[in-house]
Amino acid sequence: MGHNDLELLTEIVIPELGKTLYMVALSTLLSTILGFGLAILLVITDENGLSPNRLFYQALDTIINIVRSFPFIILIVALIPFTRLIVGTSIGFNAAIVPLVIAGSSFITRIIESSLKEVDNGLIEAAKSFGASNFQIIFKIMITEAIPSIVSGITFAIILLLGATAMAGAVGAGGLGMVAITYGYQVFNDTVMYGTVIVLIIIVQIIQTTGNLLYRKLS
Amino acid sequence: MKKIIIIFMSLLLLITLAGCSSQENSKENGSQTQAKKETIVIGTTSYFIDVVEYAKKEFEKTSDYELKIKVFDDIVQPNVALAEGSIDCNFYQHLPYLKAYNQNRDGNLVAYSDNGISCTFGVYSEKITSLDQLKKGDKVGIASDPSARTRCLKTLEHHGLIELREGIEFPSKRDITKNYKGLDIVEMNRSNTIVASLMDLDVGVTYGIHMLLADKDPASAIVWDSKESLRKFADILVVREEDKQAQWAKKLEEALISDSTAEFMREQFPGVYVRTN
Repeated sequence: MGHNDLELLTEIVIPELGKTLYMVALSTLLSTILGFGLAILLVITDENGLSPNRLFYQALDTIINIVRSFPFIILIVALIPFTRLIVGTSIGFNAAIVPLVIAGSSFITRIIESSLKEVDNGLIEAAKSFGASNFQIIFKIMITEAIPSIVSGITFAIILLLGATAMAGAVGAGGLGMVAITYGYQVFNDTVMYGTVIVLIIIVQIIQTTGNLLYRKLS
Repeated sequence: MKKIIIIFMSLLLLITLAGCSSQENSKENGSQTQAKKETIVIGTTSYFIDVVEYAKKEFEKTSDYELKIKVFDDIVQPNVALAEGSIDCNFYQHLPYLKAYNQNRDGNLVAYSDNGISCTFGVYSEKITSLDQLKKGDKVGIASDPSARTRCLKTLEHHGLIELREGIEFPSKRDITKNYKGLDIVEMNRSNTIVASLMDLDVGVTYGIHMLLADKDPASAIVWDSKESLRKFADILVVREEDKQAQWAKKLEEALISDSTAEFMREQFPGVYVRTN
């Protein structure tokens, strides 16, 4: 092939690994913050919620469904003008954060929403009878009860976002997924292709194990 | 609750069965038509669809075959499909890539001949009008897939902006030994993002066809790749070794590089395709 494969692995994989981790970490953080906000809004305005508002719920619900329907690569391209507005450019790993957060938060919103809905209604009724405010019910009761399930769901979402960063390479964001495809698969370099996959397997293992540990600690 | 699960699973099963049977139907139809006319399946990628569709008409008139077009969104699969026999030929790659495929995957795919269609290729910009205006740190968008990336880097080298390590079949950013203007080379998706993000780049190196498909002017390149490059990276018709002498391959190639196809390309896609024969 003309290259020392081991050299390739260290010269390319390490910097791209850094970009991947940065993209996953930042997009997860922002998606979770946004996701929490949106999920709480959904749960409150749901017909069985603390402050039902059918119109609002339907609108938000529909928007989230629409975002989730987009194949990620198309979402990236469709969001280019918006990305440019926020980040100032449509290329690079910072620009990739925009579609990652849009897709990630739509997914995480659903996760948190369903976790919150699982909370025992009895607890909520009891809290209401003690005169707890909506704010207290949401933050002291619902979220606290739902935390283990939310942690577990976010672990899942992180791994999905990791997969999504592979496509962020299309906008010049780099990342391990792009390396596996354009330095491995497409040039028939199995060492790079599988080498990168092994690194990704290790990362996913770490994420999943950490998630499981946190779940147990918090339950 | 149980009812809902049963209904849901039944629906999934029904959809799966419907999908299977429609595939079997088309297989049956295929073997029925085989009695009167055989079907040749050609694999191609998105930027040749129109040309192949046009050539299909001519091919079906001059031969006893029907042409079925299968579109791939991947640059490796059309060769894999050809090697395994699920398609009969493909038209999407240049000779260097075919060679690399054969070398690395023990393939025996062959180019039907030296004739082909080359896509014009240039350096485009929405910010500058001459390469002299490039400064340190300017962003140069190049394709990330190795097939087009090679051509991008060779173009930059041809115009004296960089030097590449010798002997690398498909160079990448890493193989730039000299970067005379200290340019920031960004590897990205060749079609939709280089063109869609042209305003965020200082220059983008890509195919005229991608510019045309994005409603931009393919003739507006600041500079073009070299004539040798145009020839070297022409896309050719590829078949399995045993079909090298096939009549249908001869007719198909004739249709692809015919004068009427060339006329069609000139009219519908001005400045984008160049016949190399």
